[in-house]
Amino acid sequence: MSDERNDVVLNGIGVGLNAGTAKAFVVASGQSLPPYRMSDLSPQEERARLRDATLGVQASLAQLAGGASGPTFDVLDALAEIVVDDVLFDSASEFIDQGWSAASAFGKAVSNFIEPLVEEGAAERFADFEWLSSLVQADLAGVSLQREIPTEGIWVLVIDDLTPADTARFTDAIVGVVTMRGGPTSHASIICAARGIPAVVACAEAATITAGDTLLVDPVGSRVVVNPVELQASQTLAFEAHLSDPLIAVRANVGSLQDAKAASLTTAAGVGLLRTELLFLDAQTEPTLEAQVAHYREVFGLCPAGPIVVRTLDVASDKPLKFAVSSLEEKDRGYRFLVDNLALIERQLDALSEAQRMTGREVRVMAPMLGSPSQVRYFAELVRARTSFRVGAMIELTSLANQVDELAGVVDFVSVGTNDLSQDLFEIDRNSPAKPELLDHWQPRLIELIGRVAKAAQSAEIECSVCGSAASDPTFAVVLAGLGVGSVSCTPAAVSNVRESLMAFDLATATEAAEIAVHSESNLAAKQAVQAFLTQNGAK
Amino acid sequence: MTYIATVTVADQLGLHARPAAQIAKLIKSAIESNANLVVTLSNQAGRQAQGKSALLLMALGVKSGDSVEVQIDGASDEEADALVAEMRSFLNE
Repeated sequence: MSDERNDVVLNGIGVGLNAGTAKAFVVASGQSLPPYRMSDLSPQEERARLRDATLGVQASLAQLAGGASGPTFDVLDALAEIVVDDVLFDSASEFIDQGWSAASAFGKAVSNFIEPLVEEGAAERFADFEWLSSLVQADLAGVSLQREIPTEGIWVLVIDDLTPADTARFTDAIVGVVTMRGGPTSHASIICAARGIPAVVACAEAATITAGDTLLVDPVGSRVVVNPVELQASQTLAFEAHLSDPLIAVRANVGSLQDAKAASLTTAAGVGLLRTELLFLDAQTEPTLEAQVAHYREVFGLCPAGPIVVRTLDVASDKPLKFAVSSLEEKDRGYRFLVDNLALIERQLDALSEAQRMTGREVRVMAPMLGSPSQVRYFAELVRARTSFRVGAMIELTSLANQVDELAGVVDFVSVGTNDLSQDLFEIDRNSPAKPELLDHWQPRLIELIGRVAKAAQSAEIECSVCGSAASDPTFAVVLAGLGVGSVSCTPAAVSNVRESLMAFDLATATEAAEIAVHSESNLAAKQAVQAFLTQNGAK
Repeated sequence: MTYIATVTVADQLGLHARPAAQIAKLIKSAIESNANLVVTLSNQAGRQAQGKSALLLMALGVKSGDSVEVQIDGASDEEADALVAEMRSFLNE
């Protein structure tokens, strides 16, 4: 350990809530694969070699799977089937006919198969295929890809990325993992989360770590500390309730009967987002009015006490309905859907109205993906013509977020959908998020926009709530309260933690936390500064 | 007789490697005892894939919450029911 390399911080993406410390075990890469080449053998001979190799790899994957469990077993078991898939073999066979060696042909067949799919944005589904391809190529070339994973002692593993073969050989000797590549959904993250191993992934600077360094893997701080002396692990915030009620109302998101049951067991003050797609998803034809009434009645009956905010049918989730017209490409697809399927929406409103009458619950309705005040007005008039519900609009498009002041007198409430709003704000392609950090709700620009929506809603005397994943983050909920948001709606599992955090601070502290977040340089800086500030102010 | 069923994919990851491989394995072993069996899955856009190829099933790009249409030819209704029931369990419905 060299003296000048103490307390060096390397940033990455944290996985897990606990930290781990041990000496670094830097895993050397296995032998490399030979480049693609033409064959000296006949196509028949190469095909036979490929058949043997795929069967051999299948057997070794099955054997590895036999000693594995959980997600590692799942991946190995699936790959053992995929390696002998006829589609791959037939494609490789065509390359063999062109004169390529069996190894090259298989590598090309896998790449050919993956490439168009990656362009469609499904890259993460196929991450393990590259590894599968290299296993077959290695088998044919007679090289070993096996890497040494320590099974004795206590180590933090430092590695480019983890393959299922690596994780299948994990023992208690591994107390932390640092990978240079990967991301929040890669194999390494899934395995480490499942096994409770502290990990920091996508940490490119980990290449500077050398054997003998002591590492503090600090997932909460999204960092690795090399040779820690002064620096310690970041703590997850523990909130201690001081108030008798949360600063703002905490409601639950519900998408099914099961969710409604889960929500009924919490102390949520009603339902802030009731999704209505489930009943319609498998249907070949539109469910009858009676069937819809029965469904809503059952769900309403289970919802926790308080208002129930229903979102009318949403087309924004890549789920075209068999009996409806949807124009998913349109920017204002929420409005288009309303106009194109007016009778369908009217029948949904009638069913909701009838179910409301039968249960006596307070029901409100809102429409998703509207893009302008005139579109919102159209929806509000539609609802008011048929029901006595309070009406709202979801704020999921920046065009509408910037015009909330014009909604005065048009709607009773707005609800911010943070996921879609950040996609629109940062112009992220729905299918291929190039920069995962832009989807982080701690992005200062998103926080600033939510703040402006909340202020405009206050001036217009409209209630403002936030649903979506951001509202399920207890620390972020404090920021939302500070921004002037009037209620949050989170997953049933998060209700208790979000309530506790909102009972730990007064409004002045929350407002200051929001100011700190808005004026931060980055998502990471915002999160860290707010955590530090709230810790000073009483959170542990 | 053509048998058709609709299955909603509840698995969080959609029709990913694990269920695709399970389905392919199931269909392949069913074909071993009934050579006339043809199982085809289609996604919501109407793209079709042979049930016996895990790779083609994955390439359908089916996400969580999507539905897939299963078409079975060359099987009795009982056989088809049993296959669909197993497929539903793989897709976590």
